[in-house]
Amino acid sequence: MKIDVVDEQNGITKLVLTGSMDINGALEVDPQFSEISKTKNKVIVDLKDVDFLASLGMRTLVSSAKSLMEKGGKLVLINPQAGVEKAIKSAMIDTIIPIASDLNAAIALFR
Amino acid sequence: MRSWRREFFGSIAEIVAAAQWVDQIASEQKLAPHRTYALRVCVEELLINILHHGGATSPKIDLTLALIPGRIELLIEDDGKPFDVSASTPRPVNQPLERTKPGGLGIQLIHSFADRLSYARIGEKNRVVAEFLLPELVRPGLEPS
Repeated sequence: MKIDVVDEQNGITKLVLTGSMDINGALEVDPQFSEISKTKNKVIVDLKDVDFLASLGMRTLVSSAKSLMEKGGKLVLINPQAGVEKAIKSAMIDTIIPIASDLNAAIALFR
Repeated sequence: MRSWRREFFGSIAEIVAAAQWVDQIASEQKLAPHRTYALRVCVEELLINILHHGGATSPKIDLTLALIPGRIELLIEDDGKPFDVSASTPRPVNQPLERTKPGGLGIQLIHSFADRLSYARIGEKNRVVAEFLLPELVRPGLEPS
């Protein structure tokens, strides 16, 4: 699983994930998420190229969202594929981590 | 009916191998992407449960995937401690972020993605059957996406 870190406007960081956030993928990106959550405040996770997400990947996202929230930051998700979105909504992750319709809508959530 | 059976052992590498095995069958049988996703979620989460909670250091896991008219059946047998996943309570996130503990969503995903779940303890083995219902007029292999 690959993470590209892109600096957007107003101190917002976009993480573009590529691959499967399965057991392997989640274990692979978890340390990077921890590190990014320590150094950044406003984080958008672009899920466009993530074809799979299950409970371990959700744990990574929730941990990161909590770390960011504890220092006044926020995590926002964008562009989930249909299966990933179903998984997120069935676990009700979307009630604690917002899913924005696109990048502009996500950026607006930080204003 | 067509079925495939393979034995796995409880380790992260084996869980990945099991998910890939199911993915490959689903692709060969031209299952719809959402069906493949559901199978993969259930395989991964059920095997993670066995690995983390089954009590054995290297549990032996038999996986059978069957394509039956009207449904797909995923049968998982393991020699771990008794655990009835079908009776366990699904727990989605139900607290604000500050009170949510990361993790523990696997049972919720299994219950959400499988259409039916059943469990039996047979001898020293757990036997879980997860079923995925297919539209009545669609045969496996000819499913629209």
